[in-house]
Amino acid sequence: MGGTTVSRADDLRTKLGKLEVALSAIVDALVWIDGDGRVQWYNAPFRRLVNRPDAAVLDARLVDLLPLGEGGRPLPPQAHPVNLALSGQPNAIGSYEYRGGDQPAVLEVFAARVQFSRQELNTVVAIRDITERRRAEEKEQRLAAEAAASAAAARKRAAELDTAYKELKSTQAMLVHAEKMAAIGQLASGVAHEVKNPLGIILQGVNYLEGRVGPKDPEEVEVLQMIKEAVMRSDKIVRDLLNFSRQRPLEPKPCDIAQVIRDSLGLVGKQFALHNISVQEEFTDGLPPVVIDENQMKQVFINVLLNALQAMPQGGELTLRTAAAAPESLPVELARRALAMWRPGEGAARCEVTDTGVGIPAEQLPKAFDPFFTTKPAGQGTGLGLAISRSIVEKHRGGITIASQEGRGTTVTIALPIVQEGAR
Amino acid sequence: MTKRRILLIDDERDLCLVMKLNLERTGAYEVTVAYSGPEGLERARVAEFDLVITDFNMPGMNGGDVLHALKAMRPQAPVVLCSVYHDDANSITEGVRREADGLINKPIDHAKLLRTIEQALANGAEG
Repeated sequence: MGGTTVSRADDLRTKLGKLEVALSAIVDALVWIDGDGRVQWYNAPFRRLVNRPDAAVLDARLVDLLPLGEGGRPLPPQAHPVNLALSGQPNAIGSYEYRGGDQPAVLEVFAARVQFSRQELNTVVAIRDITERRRAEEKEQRLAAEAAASAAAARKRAAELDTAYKELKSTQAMLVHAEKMAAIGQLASGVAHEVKNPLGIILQGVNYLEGRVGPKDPEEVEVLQMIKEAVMRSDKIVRDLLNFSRQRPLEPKPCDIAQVIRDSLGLVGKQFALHNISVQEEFTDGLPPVVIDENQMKQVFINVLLNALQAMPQGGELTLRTAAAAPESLPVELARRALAMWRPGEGAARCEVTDTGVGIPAEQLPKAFDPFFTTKPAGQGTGLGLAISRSIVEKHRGGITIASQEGRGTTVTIALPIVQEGAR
Repeated sequence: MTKRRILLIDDERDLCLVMKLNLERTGAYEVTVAYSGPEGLERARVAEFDLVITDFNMPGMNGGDVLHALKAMRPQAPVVLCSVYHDDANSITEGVRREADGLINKPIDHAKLLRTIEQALANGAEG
Protein backbone atom coordinates (compact mmCIF):
# COMPACT_ATOMS: atom_id res chain seq x y z
CA MET A 1 0.00 0.00 0.00
CA GLY A 2 2.79 2.34 1.21
CA GLY A 3 4.89 1.15 -1.72
CA THR A 4 2.08 2.12 -4.00
CA THR A 5 1.90 5.56 -2.43
CA VAL A 6 5.65 5.98 -2.82
CA SER A 7 5.55 4.84 -6.38
CA ARG A 8 2.59 7.13 -7.08
CA ALA A 9 4.44 10.02 -5.50
CA ASP A 10 7.50 9.16 -7.56
CA ASP A 11 5.33 8.92 -10.59
CA LEU A 12 3.82 12.33 -9.92
CA ARG A 13 7.23 13.85 -9.24
CA THR A 14 8.50 12.45 -12.52
CA LYS A 15 5.46 13.83 -14.31
CA LEU A 16 5.86 17.20 -12.63
CA GLY A 17 9.51 17.28 -13.69
CA LYS A 18 8.52 16.42 -17.23
CA LEU A 19 5.78 19.07 -17.14
CA GLU A 20 8.31 21.64 -16.02
CA VAL A 21 10.66 20.63 -18.84
CA ALA A 22 7.74 20.75 -21.28
CA LEU A 23 6.59 24.17 -20.08
CA SER A 24 10.14 25.44 -20.42
CA ALA A 25 10.36 24.16 -23.95
CA ILE A 26 7.70 26.52 -25.21
CA VAL A 27 8.71 29.97 -26.32
CA ASP A 28 6.42 31.97 -24.05
CA ALA A 29 7.51 32.91 -20.56
CA LEU A 30 5.13 31.56 -17.96
CA VAL A 31 4.83 32.66 -14.30
CA TRP A 32 2.52 31.55 -11.59
CA ILE A 33 1.97 34.08 -8.82
CA ASP A 34 0.02 33.83 -5.61
CA GLY A 35 -2.70 36.20 -4.42
CA ASP A 36 -0.08 38.72 -3.27
CA GLY A 37 1.53 38.79 -6.68
CA ARG A 38 4.64 36.88 -5.62
CA VAL A 39 6.28 34.43 -7.96
CA GLN A 40 5.60 30.77 -7.09
CA TRP A 41 6.83 29.12 -10.23
CA TYR A 42 8.21 30.09 -13.61
CA ASN A 43 9.65 28.47 -16.66
CA ALA A 44 13.05 28.83 -18.28
CA PRO A 45 12.01 31.46 -20.87
CA PHE A 46 10.83 33.68 -17.99
CA ARG A 47 14.20 33.37 -16.29
CA ARG A 48 15.93 34.29 -19.53
CA LEU A 49 13.59 37.26 -19.92
CA VAL A 50 14.16 38.74 -16.48
CA ASN A 51 17.78 37.56 -16.51
CA ARG A 52 18.16 37.14 -12.75
CA PRO A 53 19.26 34.30 -10.41
CA ASP A 54 16.51 32.01 -9.14
CA ALA A 55 16.86 33.40 -5.62
CA ALA A 56 16.02 36.88 -6.81
CA VAL A 57 13.01 35.61 -8.73
CA LEU A 58 11.21 33.18 -6.47
CA ASP A 59 8.80 34.91 -4.11
CA ALA A 60 9.62 38.30 -5.59
CA ARG A 61 6.73 40.51 -6.67
CA LEU A 62 6.14 39.98 -10.38
CA VAL A 63 5.31 43.67 -10.86
CA ASP A 64 8.86 44.48 -9.76
CA LEU A 65 10.39 41.86 -12.02
CA LEU A 66 8.40 42.99 -15.02
CA PRO A 67 8.67 46.76 -15.42
CA LEU A 68 6.44 47.73 -18.35
CA GLY A 69 5.92 50.95 -20.30
CA GLU A 70 3.67 52.48 -22.91
CA GLY A 71 4.48 55.23 -25.41
CA GLY A 72 8.02 55.50 -24.02
CA ARG A 73 6.88 56.09 -20.39
CA PRO A 74 6.62 53.69 -17.44
CA LEU A 75 3.19 52.16 -17.00
CA PRO A 76 1.36 53.47 -13.89
CA PRO A 77 1.09 50.64 -11.29
CA GLN A 78 -2.69 50.47 -11.50
CA ALA A 79 -2.45 49.89 -15.27
CA HIS A 80 0.06 47.02 -14.98
CA PRO A 81 -1.67 43.88 -16.29
CA VAL A 82 -0.51 41.88 -13.28
CA ASN A 83 -2.12 44.40 -10.92
CA LEU A 84 -5.22 44.40 -13.09
CA ALA A 85 -5.43 40.62 -12.68
CA LEU A 86 -4.77 40.86 -8.95
CA SER A 87 -7.44 43.52 -8.54
CA GLY A 88 -10.02 41.09 -9.87
CA GLN A 89 -10.07 41.44 -13.61
CA PRO A 90 -10.45 37.84 -14.82
CA ASN A 91 -8.38 38.24 -17.97
CA ALA A 92 -5.93 41.01 -18.69
CA ILE A 93 -4.17 41.15 -22.01
CA GLY A 94 -2.17 43.79 -23.75
CA SER A 95 1.11 44.60 -25.39
CA TYR A 96 3.66 46.77 -23.63
CA GLU A 97 7.21 48.00 -23.88
CA TYR A 98 9.55 46.00 -21.65
CA ARG A 99 11.75 48.32 -19.62
CA GLY A 100 13.84 45.63 -17.86
CA GLY A 101 16.15 44.52 -20.68
CA ASP A 102 19.16 46.03 -22.43
CA GLN A 103 17.37 46.20 -25.76
CA PRO A 104 13.95 47.73 -26.34
CA ALA A 105 11.42 44.95 -26.57
CA VAL A 106 7.70 44.60 -26.90
CA LEU A 107 5.88 42.04 -24.75
CA GLU A 108 2.40 40.69 -25.03
CA VAL A 109 1.23 39.95 -21.51
CA PHE A 110 -1.69 37.71 -20.69
CA ALA A 111 -2.71 37.36 -17.07
CA ALA A 112 -5.38 34.80 -16.14
CA ARG A 113 -6.83 34.19 -12.67
CA VAL A 114 -6.78 30.68 -11.46
CA GLN A 115 -8.95 29.66 -8.53
CA PHE A 116 -7.41 26.62 -6.78
CA SER A 117 -9.86 26.77 -3.89
CA ARG A 118 -12.11 29.25 -2.23
CA GLN A 119 -9.24 30.81 -0.37
CA GLU A 120 -6.50 30.30 -2.83
CA LEU A 121 -6.74 32.65 -5.73
CA ASN A 122 -3.69 32.64 -8.01
CA THR A 123 -2.71 34.09 -11.31
CA VAL A 124 -0.91 32.63 -14.28
CA VAL A 125 0.89 35.11 -16.48
CA ALA A 126 2.02 34.27 -19.99
CA ILE A 127 4.48 36.64 -21.61
CA ARG A 128 5.42 36.56 -25.26
CA ASP A 129 8.19 38.61 -26.84
CA ILE A 130 6.57 40.14 -29.93
CA THR A 131 9.38 42.60 -30.74
CA GLU A 132 10.13 40.98 -34.08
CA ARG A 133 6.48 40.62 -35.02
CA ARG A 134 5.83 44.25 -34.06
CA ARG A 135 8.82 45.38 -36.11
CA ALA A 136 7.56 43.40 -39.08
CA GLU A 137 4.10 44.91 -38.62
CA GLU A 138 5.50 48.40 -38.41
CA LYS A 139 7.61 47.80 -41.49
CA GLU A 140 4.54 46.50 -43.28
CA GLN A 141 2.56 49.57 -42.20
CA ARG A 142 5.37 51.85 -43.32
CA LEU A 143 5.55 50.09 -46.67
CA ALA A 144 1.78 50.29 -47.02
CA ALA A 145 1.86 54.00 -46.20
CA GLU A 146 4.68 54.50 -48.68
CA ALA A 147 2.75 52.55 -51.31
CA ALA A 148 -0.35 54.62 -50.60
CA ALA A 149 1.67 57.82 -50.83
CA SER A 150 3.26 56.78 -54.09
CA ALA A 151 -0.14 55.70 -55.42
CA ALA A 152 -1.53 59.10 -54.48
CA ALA A 153 1.44 60.77 -56.19
CA ALA A 154 0.85 58.62 -59.25
CA ARG A 155 -2.84 59.57 -59.26
CA LYS A 156 -1.90 63.25 -58.93
CA ARG A 157 0.59 62.89 -61.77
CA ALA A 158 -2.03 61.11 -63.87
CA ALA A 159 -4.49 63.93 -63.20
CA GLU A 160 -1.83 66.47 -64.18
CA LEU A 161 -1.09 64.50 -67.33
CA ASP A 162 -4.78 64.33 -68.09
CA THR A 163 -5.11 68.09 -67.72
CA ALA A 164 -2.01 68.66 -69.84
CA TYR A 165 -3.38 66.25 -72.43
CA LYS A 166 -6.71 68.07 -72.53
CA GLU A 167 -4.93 71.40 -72.91
CA LEU A 168 -2.79 69.92 -75.66
CA LYS A 169 -5.90 68.57 -77.39
CA SER A 170 -7.59 71.94 -77.24
CA THR A 171 -4.44 73.69 -78.48
CA GLN A 172 -4.19 71.12 -81.24
CA ALA A 173 -7.84 71.70 -82.13
CA MET A 174 -7.14 75.43 -82.28
CA LEU A 175 -4.09 74.84 -84.47
CA VAL A 176 -5.98 72.47 -86.76
CA HIS A 177 -8.74 75.04 -86.98
CA ALA A 178 -6.26 77.81 -87.79
CA GLU A 179 -4.61 75.61 -90.41
CA LYS A 180 -7.98 74.72 -91.88
CA MET A 181 -8.87 78.38 -92.06
CA ALA A 182 -5.57 79.17 -93.75
CA ALA A 183 -6.10 76.41 -96.32
CA ILE A 184 -9.64 77.58 -96.99
CA GLY A 185 -8.38 81.13 -97.25
CA GLN A 186 -5.76 80.13 -99.79
CA LEU A 187 -8.27 78.14 -101.79
CA ALA A 188 -10.81 80.95 -101.59
CA SER A 189 -8.33 83.52 -102.74
CA GLY A 190 -7.34 81.31 -105.68
CA VAL A 191 -10.96 80.75 -106.62
CA ALA A 192 -11.72 84.44 -106.20
CA HIS A 193 -9.05 85.43 -108.68
CA GLU A 194 -10.16 82.89 -111.21
CA VAL A 195 -13.78 84.03 -110.88
CA LYS A 196 -13.06 87.77 -111.00
CA ASN A 197 -11.97 87.78 -114.63
CA PRO A 198 -14.96 85.86 -116.05
CA LEU A 199 -17.17 88.14 -113.99
CA GLY A 200 -15.44 91.08 -115.63
CA ILE A 201 -16.10 89.67 -119.08
CA ILE A 202 -19.79 89.09 -118.23
CA LEU A 203 -20.12 92.61 -116.88
CA GLN A 204 -18.44 94.17 -119.91
CA GLY A 205 -20.58 91.94 -122.14
CA VAL A 206 -23.72 93.19 -120.43
CA ASN A 207 -22.45 96.77 -120.77
CA TYR A 208 -22.02 96.07 -124.49
CA LEU A 209 -25.51 94.61 -124.90
CA GLU A 210 -27.02 97.49 -122.92
CA GLY A 211 -25.82 99.76 -125.70
CA ARG A 212 -27.49 97.53 -128.30
CA VAL A 213 -30.97 97.30 -126.79
CA GLY A 214 -33.07 100.41 -126.74
CA PRO A 215 -35.96 101.63 -124.60
CA LYS A 216 -38.34 99.71 -126.88
CA ASP A 217 -37.02 96.42 -125.52
CA PRO A 218 -38.03 96.60 -121.84
CA GLU A 219 -37.73 92.84 -121.38
CA GLU A 220 -34.17 92.77 -122.68
CA VAL A 221 -33.28 95.73 -120.46
CA GLU A 222 -34.74 93.91 -117.47
CA VAL A 223 -32.89 90.67 -118.24
CA LEU A 224 -29.62 92.56 -118.64
CA GLN A 225 -30.25 94.29 -115.33
CA MET A 226 -30.80 90.88 -113.71
CA ILE A 227 -27.52 89.60 -115.13
CA LYS A 228 -25.75 92.69 -113.85
CA GLU A 229 -27.19 92.21 -110.35
CA ALA A 230 -26.15 88.56 -110.41
CA VAL A 231 -22.62 89.63 -111.33
CA MET A 232 -22.60 92.10 -108.44
CA ARG A 233 -23.85 89.42 -106.06
CA SER A 234 -21.14 87.02 -107.20
CA ASP A 235 -18.62 89.79 -106.87
CA LYS A 236 -19.77 90.39 -103.30
CA ILE A 237 -19.22 86.70 -102.49
CA VAL A 238 -15.77 86.85 -104.03
CA ARG A 239 -14.94 89.99 -102.07
CA ASP A 240 -16.13 88.32 -98.85
CA LEU A 241 -13.89 85.38 -99.65
CA LEU A 242 -10.93 87.63 -100.26
CA ASN A 243 -11.64 89.55 -97.05
CA PHE A 244 -11.78 86.28 -95.22
CA SER A 245 -8.56 84.93 -96.66
CA ARG A 246 -6.63 88.16 -96.63
CA GLN A 247 -5.57 88.55 -93.02
CA ARG A 248 -5.67 92.30 -92.76
CA PRO A 249 -3.17 93.43 -90.13
CA LEU A 250 -4.70 94.87 -86.97
CA GLU A 251 -4.53 98.58 -86.28
CA PRO A 252 -5.17 98.42 -82.55
CA LYS A 253 -5.79 101.33 -80.27
CA PRO A 254 -7.50 101.68 -76.89
CA CYS A 255 -11.29 101.81 -77.32
CA ASP A 256 -14.39 101.92 -75.19
CA ILE A 257 -16.03 98.64 -76.17
CA ALA A 258 -19.53 99.89 -75.36
CA GLN A 259 -19.01 102.78 -77.76
CA VAL A 260 -17.84 100.38 -80.50
CA ILE A 261 -21.03 98.34 -80.00
CA ARG A 262 -23.16 101.51 -80.00
CA ASP A 263 -21.50 102.66 -83.24
CA SER A 264 -22.10 99.26 -84.84
CA LEU A 265 -25.73 99.38 -83.76
CA GLY A 266 -25.95 102.89 -85.18
CA LEU A 267 -25.14 101.51 -88.63
CA VAL A 268 -27.84 98.82 -88.62
CA GLY A 269 -30.16 100.03 -85.83
CA LYS A 270 -32.87 101.41 -88.12
CA GLN A 271 -33.62 97.91 -89.33
CA PHE A 272 -34.34 96.76 -85.77
CA ALA A 273 -36.97 99.47 -85.34
CA LEU A 274 -38.48 98.53 -88.72
CA HIS A 275 -38.77 94.90 -87.63
CA ASN A 276 -40.45 95.74 -84.35
CA ILE A 277 -37.41 94.80 -82.27
CA SER A 278 -36.72 96.72 -79.07
CA VAL A 279 -33.11 97.22 -78.08
CA GLN A 280 -31.97 97.11 -74.43
CA GLU A 281 -28.52 98.44 -73.61
CA GLU A 282 -27.00 97.12 -70.39
CA PHE A 283 -23.51 98.55 -70.58
CA THR A 284 -21.27 98.62 -67.51
CA ASP A 285 -19.93 102.10 -66.86
CA GLY A 286 -16.24 102.71 -66.41
CA LEU A 287 -15.03 99.51 -68.06
CA PRO A 288 -11.28 99.79 -68.78
CA PRO A 289 -10.52 100.28 -72.50
CA VAL A 290 -9.76 97.34 -74.76
CA VAL A 291 -6.98 97.60 -77.33
CA ILE A 292 -8.65 96.67 -80.60
CA ASP A 293 -8.86 97.44 -84.29
CA GLU A 294 -12.07 99.41 -84.11
CA ASN A 295 -13.11 98.86 -87.73
CA GLN A 296 -12.53 95.14 -87.70
CA MET A 297 -14.36 94.71 -84.37
CA LYS A 298 -17.25 96.80 -85.73
CA GLN A 299 -17.41 94.33 -88.60
CA VAL A 300 -17.79 91.57 -86.00
CA PHE A 301 -20.56 93.31 -84.06
CA ILE A 302 -22.43 94.27 -87.23
CA ASN A 303 -22.29 90.63 -88.29
CA VAL A 304 -23.63 89.44 -84.96
CA LEU A 305 -26.32 92.15 -84.92
CA LEU A 306 -27.50 91.27 -88.44
CA ASN A 307 -27.70 87.60 -87.47
CA ALA A 308 -29.85 88.59 -84.48
CA LEU A 309 -32.04 90.70 -86.76
CA GLN A 310 -32.58 87.80 -89.13
CA ALA A 311 -33.38 85.51 -86.21
CA MET A 312 -36.33 87.71 -85.19
CA PRO A 313 -38.55 88.09 -88.29
CA GLN A 314 -41.61 88.47 -86.02
CA GLY A 315 -39.95 91.10 -83.82
CA GLY A 316 -38.58 90.62 -80.34
CA GLU A 317 -35.99 91.97 -77.99
CA LEU A 318 -32.29 92.56 -78.46
CA THR A 319 -30.13 92.96 -75.36
CA LEU A 320 -26.60 94.29 -75.50
CA ARG A 321 -24.40 93.82 -72.43
CA THR A 322 -20.84 94.63 -71.46
CA ALA A 323 -19.14 93.76 -68.18
CA ALA A 324 -15.72 93.14 -66.74
CA ALA A 325 -15.15 89.44 -66.04
CA ALA A 326 -12.48 87.15 -64.64
CA PRO A 327 -11.25 84.74 -67.36
CA GLU A 328 -12.36 81.69 -65.37
CA SER A 329 -15.93 83.02 -65.13
CA LEU A 330 -16.34 83.04 -68.93
CA PRO A 331 -18.15 80.30 -70.86
CA VAL A 332 -15.91 77.24 -70.76
CA GLU A 333 -14.35 77.44 -74.25
CA LEU A 334 -13.59 81.13 -73.81
CA ALA A 335 -12.21 80.53 -70.34
CA ARG A 336 -9.91 77.78 -71.59
CA ARG A 337 -8.69 79.99 -74.40
CA ALA A 338 -8.21 82.98 -72.13
CA LEU A 339 -6.34 81.00 -69.50
CA ALA A 340 -4.09 79.48 -72.15
CA MET A 341 -3.32 82.66 -74.08
CA TRP A 342 -3.67 85.61 -71.76
CA ARG A 343 -1.04 86.98 -69.45
CA PRO A 344 -1.63 86.42 -65.75
CA GLY A 345 -3.82 89.16 -64.32
CA GLU A 346 -5.46 90.06 -67.61
CA GLY A 347 -9.20 90.40 -67.20
CA ALA A 348 -11.90 90.15 -69.82
CA ALA A 349 -14.29 92.61 -71.34
CA ARG A 350 -17.32 90.39 -71.76
CA CYS A 351 -19.79 91.45 -74.44
CA GLU A 352 -23.10 89.73 -74.97
CA VAL A 353 -25.65 90.09 -77.75
CA THR A 354 -28.87 88.31 -76.85
CA ASP A 355 -31.90 87.93 -79.10
CA THR A 356 -35.31 86.39 -78.49
CA GLY A 357 -35.35 84.85 -81.94
CA VAL A 358 -35.77 81.42 -83.48
CA GLY A 359 -32.57 79.99 -81.98
CA ILE A 360 -30.16 77.49 -83.49
CA PRO A 361 -30.81 73.72 -83.36
CA ALA A 362 -28.30 72.02 -81.06
CA GLU A 363 -26.88 69.87 -83.88
CA GLN A 364 -26.07 72.97 -85.94
CA LEU A 365 -24.37 74.92 -83.15
CA PRO A 366 -20.94 73.28 -83.52
CA LYS A 367 -20.90 74.22 -87.22
CA ALA A 368 -21.96 77.82 -86.72
CA PHE A 369 -18.41 79.16 -87.13
CA ASP A 370 -17.48 76.92 -90.06
CA PRO A 371 -16.85 78.82 -93.28
CA PHE A 372 -19.68 78.45 -95.82
CA PHE A 373 -22.06 77.05 -93.22
CA THR A 374 -25.33 78.94 -93.49
CA THR A 375 -28.97 78.37 -92.67
CA LYS A 376 -30.09 81.39 -94.65
CA PRO A 377 -31.95 81.10 -97.97
CA ALA A 378 -29.83 81.04 -101.13
CA GLY A 379 -28.37 84.41 -101.97
CA GLN A 380 -28.79 85.81 -98.45
CA GLY A 381 -25.58 84.65 -96.87
CA THR A 382 -22.24 83.25 -97.87
CA GLY A 383 -21.76 81.48 -94.54
CA LEU A 384 -18.63 83.49 -93.94
CA GLY A 385 -19.93 86.10 -91.47
CA LEU A 386 -19.26 84.18 -88.29
CA ALA A 387 -16.11 82.56 -89.67
CA ILE A 388 -14.69 86.01 -90.41
CA SER A 389 -15.92 87.30 -87.03
CA ARG A 390 -14.21 84.48 -85.22
CA SER A 391 -10.96 84.99 -87.07
CA ILE A 392 -11.03 88.72 -86.24
CA VAL A 393 -11.85 88.14 -82.56
CA GLU A 394 -9.13 85.51 -82.28
CA LYS A 395 -6.59 87.83 -83.85
CA HIS A 396 -7.35 90.08 -80.87
CA ARG A 397 -6.53 87.08 -78.59
CA GLY A 398 -10.23 87.05 -77.75
CA GLY A 399 -12.91 84.42 -78.09
CA ILE A 400 -16.45 84.17 -79.40
CA THR A 401 -19.04 81.57 -78.56
CA ILE A 402 -22.75 80.97 -79.08
CA ALA A 403 -25.35 79.61 -76.70
CA SER A 404 -28.77 79.00 -78.16
CA GLN A 405 -32.11 77.39 -77.46
CA GLU A 406 -34.39 76.63 -80.34
CA GLY A 407 -37.51 78.78 -80.14
CA ARG A 408 -36.12 80.79 -77.23
CA GLY A 409 -33.22 82.79 -78.59
CA THR A 410 -29.49 83.07 -78.92
CA THR A 411 -26.69 84.71 -76.99
CA VAL A 412 -23.37 85.46 -78.62
CA THR A 413 -20.59 86.09 -76.11
CA ILE A 414 -17.37 87.81 -77.09
CA ALA A 415 -14.50 88.13 -74.64
CA LEU A 416 -11.56 90.44 -75.24
CA PRO A 417 -8.52 90.84 -73.01
CA ILE A 418 -8.31 94.03 -71.01
CA VAL A 419 -4.67 95.00 -71.34
CA GLN A 420 -3.19 96.19 -68.08
CA GLU A 421 -1.69 99.67 -68.11
CA GLY A 422 2.07 99.46 -68.38
CA ALA A 423 1.96 95.82 -69.51
CA ARG A 424 1.34 96.76 -73.08
CA MET B 1 -12.57 115.76 -132.46
CA THR B 2 -9.74 113.29 -132.84
CA LYS B 3 -10.10 109.96 -131.16
CA ARG B 4 -8.00 109.23 -128.09
CA ARG B 5 -5.62 106.35 -128.60
CA ILE B 6 -5.76 103.78 -125.79
CA LEU B 7 -3.50 100.79 -125.26
CA LEU B 8 -5.22 98.03 -123.25
CA ILE B 9 -2.99 95.34 -121.70
CA ASP B 10 -4.59 92.29 -120.10
CA ASP B 11 -3.82 88.58 -120.36
CA GLU B 12 -7.58 87.82 -120.44
CA ARG B 13 -8.24 88.00 -124.20
CA ASP B 14 -12.04 88.02 -124.15
CA LEU B 15 -12.04 90.78 -121.58
CA CYS B 16 -9.77 92.87 -123.82
CA LEU B 17 -11.98 92.31 -126.82
CA VAL B 18 -15.28 93.22 -125.17
CA MET B 19 -13.72 96.24 -123.42
CA LYS B 20 -12.35 97.38 -126.78
CA LEU B 21 -15.85 97.01 -128.30
CA ASN B 22 -17.40 99.05 -125.50
CA LEU B 23 -14.79 101.79 -125.58
CA GLU B 24 -14.74 102.13 -129.34
CA ARG B 25 -18.52 102.21 -129.56
CA THR B 26 -18.47 105.52 -127.67
CA GLY B 27 -16.75 106.99 -130.72
CA ALA B 28 -14.23 108.74 -128.51
CA TYR B 29 -11.49 106.11 -128.40
CA GLU B 30 -9.37 103.94 -130.61
CA VAL B 31 -8.19 100.88 -128.72
CA THR B 32 -5.15 98.70 -129.30
CA VAL B 33 -4.94 95.49 -127.25
CA ALA B 34 -1.93 93.57 -125.98
CA TYR B 35 -2.10 90.31 -124.06
CA SER B 36 1.04 90.58 -121.97
CA GLY B 37 3.34 93.15 -120.42
CA PRO B 38 6.19 92.72 -122.92
CA GLU B 39 3.76 92.83 -125.86
CA GLY B 40 2.22 96.03 -124.47
CA LEU B 41 5.63 97.66 -124.07
CA GLU B 42 6.53 96.74 -127.65
CA ARG B 43 3.30 98.38 -128.90
CA ALA B 44 4.04 101.48 -126.82
CA ARG B 45 7.54 101.64 -128.28
CA VAL B 46 6.38 101.64 -131.91
CA ALA B 47 3.28 103.82 -131.53
CA GLU B 48 2.18 106.70 -129.37
CA PHE B 49 -0.85 106.37 -127.02
CA ASP B 50 -2.80 108.96 -125.07
CA LEU B 51 -3.49 106.50 -122.28
CA VAL B 52 -2.57 102.95 -121.21
CA ILE B 53 -4.83 100.66 -119.22
CA THR B 54 -2.97 97.69 -117.80
CA ASP B 55 -4.01 94.78 -115.64
CA PHE B 56 -1.92 94.35 -112.50
CA ASN B 57 -2.06 90.60 -112.08
CA MET B 58 -0.43 89.07 -115.16
CA PRO B 59 1.91 86.10 -115.51
CA GLY B 60 5.54 87.03 -116.08
CA MET B 61 5.63 90.80 -115.98
CA ASN B 62 3.07 92.36 -113.67
CA GLY B 63 1.26 95.67 -114.09
CA GLY B 64 3.60 97.44 -111.68
CA ASP B 65 6.63 96.60 -113.85
CA VAL B 66 4.74 97.59 -117.00
CA LEU B 67 3.76 100.90 -115.39
CA HIS B 68 7.38 101.52 -114.45
CA ALA B 69 8.70 100.80 -117.94
CA LEU B 70 5.99 102.95 -119.59
CA LYS B 71 6.73 105.90 -117.30
CA ALA B 72 10.43 105.56 -118.11
CA MET B 73 9.55 105.66 -121.81
CA ARG B 74 6.99 108.50 -121.70
CA PRO B 75 6.49 110.07 -118.27
CA GLN B 76 3.58 112.28 -119.33
CA ALA B 77 1.34 109.51 -120.78
CA PRO B 78 -1.24 108.49 -118.13
CA VAL B 79 -1.48 104.85 -117.03
CA VAL B 80 -4.51 103.31 -115.36
CA LEU B 81 -3.95 100.17 -113.33
CA CYS B 82 -6.73 97.63 -112.89
CA SER B 83 -6.68 94.83 -110.39
CA VAL B 84 -8.62 92.35 -108.36
CA TYR B 85 -6.77 93.62 -105.39
CA HIS B 86 -6.44 97.30 -105.76
CA ASP B 87 -6.70 97.79 -102.02
CA ASP B 88 -4.26 95.07 -101.16
CA ALA B 89 -1.19 96.68 -99.66
CA ASN B 90 0.80 93.50 -100.11
CA SER B 91 0.50 93.30 -103.88
CA ILE B 92 0.45 96.91 -105.00
CA THR B 93 3.12 98.94 -103.29
CA GLU B 94 2.61 102.53 -102.25
CA GLY B 95 5.17 103.56 -104.89
CA VAL B 96 3.25 101.89 -107.71
CA ARG B 97 0.02 103.37 -106.37
CA ARG B 98 1.50 106.89 -106.50
CA GLU B 99 2.98 106.37 -109.95
CA ALA B 100 -0.33 105.25 -111.47
CA ASP B 101 -2.70 107.89 -112.82
CA GLY B 102 -5.75 105.84 -111.93
CA LEU B 103 -6.75 102.65 -110.18
CA ILE B 104 -9.81 100.60 -111.02
CA ASN B 105 -11.17 97.56 -109.30
CA LYS B 106 -12.27 94.47 -111.20
CA PRO B 107 -14.90 93.57 -112.34
CA ILE B 108 -14.88 96.76 -114.35
CA ASP B 109 -18.18 98.51 -114.92
CA HIS B 110 -18.20 100.43 -118.18
CA ALA B 111 -19.53 103.71 -116.78
CA LYS B 112 -16.94 103.67 -114.04
CA LEU B 113 -14.20 102.88 -116.54
CA LEU B 114 -15.16 105.90 -118.66
CA ARG B 115 -15.02 108.18 -115.61
CA THR B 116 -11.59 106.83 -114.62
CA ILE B 117 -10.23 107.27 -118.17
CA GLU B 118 -11.49 110.84 -118.49
CA GLN B 119 -10.09 111.76 -115.10
CA ALA B 120 -6.68 110.28 -115.94
CA LEU B 121 -6.62 112.08 -119.31
CA ALA B 122 -7.55 115.37 -117.65
CA ASN B 123 -4.85 114.92 -115.00
CA GLY B 124 -2.33 113.98 -117.70
CA ALA B 125 -3.20 117.15 -119.64
CA GLU B 126 -2.66 119.26 -116.51
CA GLY B 127 0.64 117.59 -115.68
